[in-house]
Amino acid sequence: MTQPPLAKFLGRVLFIAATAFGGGMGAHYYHHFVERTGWLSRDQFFQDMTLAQLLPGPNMVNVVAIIGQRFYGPLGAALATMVVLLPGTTLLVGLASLIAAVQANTATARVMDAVAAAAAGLLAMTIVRLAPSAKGARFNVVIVLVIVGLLIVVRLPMVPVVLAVAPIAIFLNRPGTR
Amino acid sequence: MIDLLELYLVYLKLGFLAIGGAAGVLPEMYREFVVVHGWMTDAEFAQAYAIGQLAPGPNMLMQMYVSYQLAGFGGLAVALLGFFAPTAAICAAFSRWWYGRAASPWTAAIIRGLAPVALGLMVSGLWTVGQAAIVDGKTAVIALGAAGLMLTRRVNPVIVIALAAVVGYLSPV
Repeated sequence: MTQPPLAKFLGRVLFIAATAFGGGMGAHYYHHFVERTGWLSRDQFFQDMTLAQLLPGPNMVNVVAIIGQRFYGPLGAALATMVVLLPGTTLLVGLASLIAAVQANTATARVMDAVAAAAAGLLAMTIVRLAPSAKGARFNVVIVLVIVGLLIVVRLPMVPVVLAVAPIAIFLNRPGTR
Repeated sequence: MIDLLELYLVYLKLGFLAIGGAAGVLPEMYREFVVVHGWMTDAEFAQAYAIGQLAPGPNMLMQMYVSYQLAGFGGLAVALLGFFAPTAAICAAFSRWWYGRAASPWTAAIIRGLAPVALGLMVSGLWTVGQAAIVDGKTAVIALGAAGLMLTRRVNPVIVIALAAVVGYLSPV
């Protein structure tokens, strides 16, 4: 691990956040922090990714907060969190103003409906790609179905569902079960 | 006028519910924003999700779009401080403590155990977004087309969304 100057680190976070369109941001982090700069070893990077996935919050924000903390402490974590959100937020605020300006137009409504439908299709494919990561204990399929059933069919709020099901899921996948 | 404190508390809860994949918060976000508080309609929710996908950077930037639409720059601050910052701070603090101790076999167990939970949440998220977005034959065809395009050739999702926008613009009313 070689600790870069804070400005260099934040500059690279800003670059990644501004150019990682369409997901797959983890690969961008890996490329920049491990392969190109050597700021982190491969193992350190995957440890940070693991923690980011384990804890609540959007993973790609979490991991950059952990890396910022690793190098510079709480200040690094706070700055990295803000910088990683900056480019996308700027674009969305611009889009919000643009959409508000053309909302009366019926073509805008057609475009927005089409875009929303496409995004649903994309999410379906993301799930298909991620599904293999959930093959662990034999009961994992049941866990997926129970969550969907409780949230969508029974319409329970998410907090009690997750609090009830997650410990059971972790127990079923406890050390030594694989 | 939207109550910023109420929005903050909703975001605080959603941030802690984002486990595994951030799309997992969509069902609860839908429940809070559309059903409980009526801050947006079905269609606006589906559109906000789609627009959020256009932004570069981390997933769930849709929260910035939604909060800005609801309450301007005050809303942006609420989403940052409610949804993104608390969990990032916890991650940073936890990582410091975690790296000070030895690795446990339970780490892998927790990751394995949370994977199906996260997947279940994402499937529920798909259901939520899908039923708001797929309202007629045309939107169904576009959704299937987008999924098919992603399945057969690994194009950047941003391109798929842009294509859908063109199709929507050219399509008859």
